[in-house]
Amino acid sequence: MLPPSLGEFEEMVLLAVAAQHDQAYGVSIQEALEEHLGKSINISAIHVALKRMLEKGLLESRYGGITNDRGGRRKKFYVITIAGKRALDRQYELRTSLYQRIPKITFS
Amino acid sequence: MRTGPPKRALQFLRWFCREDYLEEIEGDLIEVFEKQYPNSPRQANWNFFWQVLRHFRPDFIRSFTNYPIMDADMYAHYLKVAWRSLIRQGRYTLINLSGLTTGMTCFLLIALFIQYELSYDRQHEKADRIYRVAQKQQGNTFRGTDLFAVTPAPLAPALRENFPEVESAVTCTLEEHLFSKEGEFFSPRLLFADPNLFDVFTITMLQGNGAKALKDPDGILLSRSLAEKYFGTEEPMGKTILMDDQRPLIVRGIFQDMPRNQHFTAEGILSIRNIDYYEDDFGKWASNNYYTYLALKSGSDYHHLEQRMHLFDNEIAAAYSGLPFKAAFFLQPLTDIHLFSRVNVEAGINGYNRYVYLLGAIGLIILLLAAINYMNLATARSARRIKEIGIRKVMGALRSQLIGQLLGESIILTCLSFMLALLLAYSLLPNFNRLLDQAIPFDLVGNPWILVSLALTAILIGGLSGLYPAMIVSALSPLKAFKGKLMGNLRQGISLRNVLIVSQFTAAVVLAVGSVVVYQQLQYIRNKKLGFNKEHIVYVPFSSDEIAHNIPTIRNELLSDPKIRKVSVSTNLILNTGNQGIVDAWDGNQKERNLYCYRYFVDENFLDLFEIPLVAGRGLSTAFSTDSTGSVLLNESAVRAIGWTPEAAIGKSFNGSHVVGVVQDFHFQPMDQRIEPMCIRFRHPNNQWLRNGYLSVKLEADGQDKTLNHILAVLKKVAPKTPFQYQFLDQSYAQQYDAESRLGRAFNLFTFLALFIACMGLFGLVSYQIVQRTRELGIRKVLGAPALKLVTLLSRDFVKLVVIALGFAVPIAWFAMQQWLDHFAYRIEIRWWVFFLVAVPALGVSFFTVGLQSWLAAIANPVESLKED
Repeated sequence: MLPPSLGEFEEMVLLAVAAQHDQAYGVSIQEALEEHLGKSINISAIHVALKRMLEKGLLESRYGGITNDRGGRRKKFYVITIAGKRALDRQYELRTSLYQRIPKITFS
Repeated sequence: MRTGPPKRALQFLRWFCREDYLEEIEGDLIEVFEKQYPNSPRQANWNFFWQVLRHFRPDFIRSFTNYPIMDADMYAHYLKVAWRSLIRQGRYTLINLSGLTTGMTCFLLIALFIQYELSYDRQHEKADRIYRVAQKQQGNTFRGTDLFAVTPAPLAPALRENFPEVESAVTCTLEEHLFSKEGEFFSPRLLFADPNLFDVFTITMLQGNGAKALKDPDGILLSRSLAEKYFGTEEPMGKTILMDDQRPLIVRGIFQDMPRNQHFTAEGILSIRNIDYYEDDFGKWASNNYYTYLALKSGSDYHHLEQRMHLFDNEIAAAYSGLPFKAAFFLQPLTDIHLFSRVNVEAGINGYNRYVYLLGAIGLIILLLAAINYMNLATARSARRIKEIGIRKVMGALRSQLIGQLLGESIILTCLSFMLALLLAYSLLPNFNRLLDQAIPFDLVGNPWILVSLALTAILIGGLSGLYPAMIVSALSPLKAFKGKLMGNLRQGISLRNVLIVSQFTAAVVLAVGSVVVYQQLQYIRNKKLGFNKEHIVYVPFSSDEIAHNIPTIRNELLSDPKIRKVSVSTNLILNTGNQGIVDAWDGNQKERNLYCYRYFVDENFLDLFEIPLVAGRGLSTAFSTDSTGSVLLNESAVRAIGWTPEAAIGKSFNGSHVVGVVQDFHFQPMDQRIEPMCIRFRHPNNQWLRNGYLSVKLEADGQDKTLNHILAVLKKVAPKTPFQYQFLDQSYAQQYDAESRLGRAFNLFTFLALFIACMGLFGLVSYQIVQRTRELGIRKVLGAPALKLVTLLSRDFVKLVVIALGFAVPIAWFAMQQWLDHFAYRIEIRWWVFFLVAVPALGVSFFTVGLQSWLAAIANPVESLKED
């Protein structure tokens, strides 16, 4: 079976989830990405990416406790799975191996 | 104070969002909102809206078809229960469905008919911008109208020249001509036209170029079926055929048969230069011998053009100088001609918009009847489901589910009946066509509105009849439901049903009265004293010099047959003279007054043969040498119009002749026209030939077949190349009222169906009611009530309703039929016993329906009905 594909935005979200281990949820991911990428990101896009990666088995989720914030709604926390980690590793290897093939170029 | 996000957006989100995602998404959105809110409440609100909208995408939208509790098993169960309840109440189901199906079938057939009537002439590409030029001759009323469809020859070129918005204009005319081949005769209708024909109308050429062929006067275009009839399997192109046995024409093209839904059709097209008088007429504004059709450029307003056609006023005025009427042109949209045009010299037989409306109204009434009926029975029947509903409620069914179940059941049933109606309509259409003498295609795909509207009606009927019980029954508390009584609501149901029954019977009775009146009027017309005897008369139209020159010989040969009593020749058929002139000179009047006077030219046997009595003076005869030049007969109307008495009229001069006799008024026009002034002139059979005319022969009542053969044989001997067709005068007379007879037949059929549907409704309702009251009846019987009293008890209410319906129906029917009768010049009065005639059977049938049911219930053994509990 082919490993599940990973889009660029999905990869970003996955990285953010992995970075905020066990404490990642919609808004926190949005903030992290906005900070790193320096542009505003729509939360619906993050939700879509999360659902898709959940279906692909790259993520797992669990509900947090009820608080007084968020109108009493529980947070849904995401954790990366082994498959998710592998996908990230593969993506990383692919990029570095390609990157290393670049001959030394100087732009002057 | 803590402010939440906009409510509406939140509601929307909760409505569409998948349940398992909702909490997370909602929470995240609220968190973002709360973070933004202190900075800028407005922006936070807007952003929230925007974010909710951004989530409205397939990934998050829940499935609306798949309620967790409404799965396939549930539907299967609903179907099963629906089926069981249908079977258990099989009789009601049958009555109910057949009534609705009958109604929808009628409606479908009528809708198809109306669609066909409306489809006339629409097949031309430019149909919406083609117009016919017609003329109003103010002061020249002929057969009830002063409008004429014919126009002079120079009109079309003048229109093209003077008005830039006229895209093209064609001059044409229709005539029947004779073609023969090896002893077989065809007399097809031919269209004589100029080559512009093809720029105006859409005529599909199968072979050859139509416009090019019409430039050549020797060419002819044939319809495919005529070419097949004439040439069989041979290739017709380039062949020569003889028209009227003298004029050779070369086949230059074949066109597709013209559809029947055109206001005129033709089987052959040839150049207008083949019309004998066309060369003469060319440039003459007084020659009203042609039809002129024009196509306007798209976007032009024909009223505007109509006004500017005053340009031709001088030419017309010059052409009609000396005639006492004023003429002006007007335009008729092509697509209106079939239904709305009532002018003289039409190119074909037109439809009648009033009959289309009338049938449409009947169709709607029948559909309404069937719908009412269905709803009536369905609501009554639903009371039986109360216990089932109660159990469902106890098991936790939501009200919305119950409504959905009952509504869905009802809609499925009506849709089923709709399908059945489609099938029935399809199989009955040929019969319907025969009844109305039409060629209506079963075309539901071409105009989707019929199908869509009927399907919607089916759903609506199903919806409405399902909704009422669904709402009421589902609102009951389970406890009440188990008691099996709908106390308060049942009353309500009954009063609504009563209104429905009354309106249903009202409609049916109005239709019934209508059909009786139509029948009576038709009988009246058919049997009215015409003023002449139309029985046992055969006539042969001829248009041949050979016949005209040999009238005395023909007469003698015919009279040699002892079965032939009399023979006469006249220019016009006695039924319908088309010959009218203006007389402005008679004793005491020199051009001060004008008399429009219809004319006959006849021989000396005319009055005798048709048994037209003289009121004064004598008939025309060869015995008086002056008769062929200077004698005239008037009818009573003419004498009255001038202001003479019949006796005083004798010897007076009239239009250069002397009045020798006055004949009693007789109907020479259809009954919707009054008898108008008419004069009869003499043509001597030996020297004053009538090329075109009618040979009328009076026969003995028996042995007519042989005699008819004899007549044809005699004519064949004199004019071997001309085909003859004889017709019976009384049949031709009846044909004049074809439209009315067809209406009558359709009316009868639909009335019968309407009554049938109404009675079926009553039947269903009564039998239902009786089943409901079985126990009550049993107890009454046990306590000693006689059967007859029970019958009265049961039927009283229903019969009362029918009586009320009669009360409504009588004035409505009376008013409607007065309107219809008003367009006949000679009409019956509606008599009170007509209503009686309708009321008695209506009451009788309903009483029978109710009575039979109640009788059966009343004589039943009470043990049977009481042992249930």
